[in-house]
Amino acid sequence: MIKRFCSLFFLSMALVLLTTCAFAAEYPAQPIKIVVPYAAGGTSDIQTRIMSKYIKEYLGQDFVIVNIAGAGGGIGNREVLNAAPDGYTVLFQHQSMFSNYLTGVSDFTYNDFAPVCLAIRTNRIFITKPDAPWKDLKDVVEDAKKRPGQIRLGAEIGATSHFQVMPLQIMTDNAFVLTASKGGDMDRITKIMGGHMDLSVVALSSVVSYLKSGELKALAVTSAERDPFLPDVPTAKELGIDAIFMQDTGFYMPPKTPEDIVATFSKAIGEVSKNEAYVKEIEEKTFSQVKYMDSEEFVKFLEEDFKYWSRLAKEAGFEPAKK
Amino acid sequence: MESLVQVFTVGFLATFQPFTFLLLVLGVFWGMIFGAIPGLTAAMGVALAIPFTFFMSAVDGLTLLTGIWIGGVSGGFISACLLNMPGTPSSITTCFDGYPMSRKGKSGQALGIALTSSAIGGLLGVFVLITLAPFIARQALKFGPFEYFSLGVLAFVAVSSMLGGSIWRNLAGLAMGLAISSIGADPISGIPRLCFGISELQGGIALLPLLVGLFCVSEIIEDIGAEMEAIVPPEARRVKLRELLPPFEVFKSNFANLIRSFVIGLTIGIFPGIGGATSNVIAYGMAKSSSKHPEKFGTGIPDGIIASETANNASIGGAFIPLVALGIPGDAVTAILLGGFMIHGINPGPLLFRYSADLVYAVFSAQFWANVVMFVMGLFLIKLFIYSLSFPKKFLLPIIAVSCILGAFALNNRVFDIWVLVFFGIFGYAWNKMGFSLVPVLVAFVLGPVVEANLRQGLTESAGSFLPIFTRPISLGLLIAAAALFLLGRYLQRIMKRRRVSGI
Repeated sequence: MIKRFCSLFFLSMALVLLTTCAFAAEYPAQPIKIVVPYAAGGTSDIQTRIMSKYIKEYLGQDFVIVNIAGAGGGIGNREVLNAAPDGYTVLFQHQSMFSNYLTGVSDFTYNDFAPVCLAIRTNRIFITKPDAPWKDLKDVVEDAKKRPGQIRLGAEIGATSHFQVMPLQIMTDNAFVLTASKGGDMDRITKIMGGHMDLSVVALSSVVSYLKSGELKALAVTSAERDPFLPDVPTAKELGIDAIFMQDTGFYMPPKTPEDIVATFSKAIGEVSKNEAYVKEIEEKTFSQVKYMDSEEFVKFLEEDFKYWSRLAKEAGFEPAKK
Repeated sequence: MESLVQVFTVGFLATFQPFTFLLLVLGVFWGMIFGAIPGLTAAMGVALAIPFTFFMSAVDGLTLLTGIWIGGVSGGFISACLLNMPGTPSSITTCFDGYPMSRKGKSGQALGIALTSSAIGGLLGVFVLITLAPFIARQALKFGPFEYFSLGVLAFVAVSSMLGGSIWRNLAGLAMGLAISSIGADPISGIPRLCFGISELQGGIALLPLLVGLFCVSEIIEDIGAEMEAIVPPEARRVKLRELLPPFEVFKSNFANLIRSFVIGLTIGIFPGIGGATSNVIAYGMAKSSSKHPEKFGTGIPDGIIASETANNASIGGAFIPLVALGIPGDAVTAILLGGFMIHGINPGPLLFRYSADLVYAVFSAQFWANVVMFVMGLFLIKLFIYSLSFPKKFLLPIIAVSCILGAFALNNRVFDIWVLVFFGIFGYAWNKMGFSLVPVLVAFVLGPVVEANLRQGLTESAGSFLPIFTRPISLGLLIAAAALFLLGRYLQRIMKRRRVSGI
């Protein structure tokens, strides 16, 4: 019996394996696996799927979107880090790689990969309940100074949102009660609507409809300039709060990927970023902006931003993991 | 009421476009197959279909996804009754009575009861969803971290004292489940725990390989070397449709059970993160504790199947409520569905009813018809599955083993998950052999992170004080219910022991 079980078992396994064989030629000779380190249906997932509709014209190959979710993106990151450096496994990720490293959750960061290019930029926004007494983020900060230990500021500990609320804590000498959230913007949005948190910071793409319907109120965006989708909301900088954060999602290849492969891929993304239909679709469906930087520019930008995040981590007393 | 009228006019009109209805039928079929095959789940069926919806209109795409979801949650009973393997986490307790009934040669009847209960639970759920969604969703928001914590405690108690077997052994199972669930990134600070230096464990153990390992692979191991007769005797491979339709008396005598299970399923479905995997267990426990003949549960009686299958389909309606009314996904599948909405540029949430009311009605109508289609299609699929299970097990088990492995891999495209599957297969086999139940392990695994994250979140809110668990009214009420359930469980066990001794 066992023999028969085994023979049938291996036969069916072999059939499955046969169908997945592949071979190599000039890059890109086969579809490219894009690892989205978050669940299907999230903003990053939708953005890559929109991209995959247009990319073939410029790259000559299709994208295959693979969702590897878990550990705040860490599992998908590692999958690409350990993949073959042949340009067929590419990561689509944002600054969460900074926060994972700086808080000691993962032992690698952006410069352990081969950064390819920046593709999309989404703003971050501070939100509160519509009946909250504050007009903007400055009001909140002043109020917190007056009555420390009473306003609940929500963030996901160790994630990007935690870094984004750090300037407020530093300004007010920890006057806010830092309330932990489980992760994901939706959790904090729900908690604010249900009155279990007073304010928090989330991706603009997650809250536009709530702001329009009046279920939530915007306090400030954290970009350098005002957001094109919500031009009435002031920036934190305008309000005298030193906090500039954006969610910059770009492509990363495994370390030691040959430069010409990186350049070929990056060039295709640069070209698709000029396609008006693509730009419009990204804007309308994900409330984000198409923002291209080639690999040289991207690395420079990441270095600068990483310094800023490292400084915040130091002030908050975090220790990065040892490599 | 107005929305009910709208669904029956505007919504039905949208569903009855030829192509849309075809997609609905295909979706339900696809879903039921995914639900019925051990190793594939409703969530996977929906996730795989998302890329196809890209090229469809919003109504078509969402109709397809809704169909798959409803088919998938329902399909789980097929393998639960026939193979003692829950096709989805929502059908764990369906095995308890469905499989024994099948073993008595009444496969058709067991499946018929499960199918009918699923359809009833699903349809009632749709009606509540249509009429009360925005109101209920707003109430559910008031449920804070401490309430979630207490609800989790209630579920733990229900599992350990109501499902039968020794309470202490069940508690051991809960502890084991909690330990397994704490592997990986800590839900609040993201720091990896219990990883033993294996970097793949940082994301934790995924539900699917755990479930399939515990319940399906362990069952396959059990069968290796055993007598390989067919599950369904060849002479019973052809069932008449009439045999599948359960007699009316079954449901008449289970009316209270049906309504109670429906309410439990719906209520639990509403709270994000808890969902169908928990509701069927609680509904089964409650049915048993309020039954006049608790000792018969587990021997193959309709009551148990009705409780489990009504509750898990009612949870679909429940999980849809926060999704459409507030844009908050209640479980893994609704999170994927949320993405399905967003792909079409529609943001579920407060504005959905205002800007895309027609679409909402179309989705509600799709839900309604998916349940009807599921019922009709189920009758034929059941015949097919009974027929295919009349082949000897030696042909069947290797195929199931491969589908389990494929499912575990496809979940996250990681080979590591296959090892997780194999590990929990062996673990489940050993656990069963030692006389422990696997259900508490699974329930603790599903709810562990919810309970932990909410407790710790609550503690950051209350600056470290545990007091609110007992001072917040809903939370206190849930804890009192848990205590009552525990005492009731012990009492029932004693009665059952006495009855067994006196031979009644």
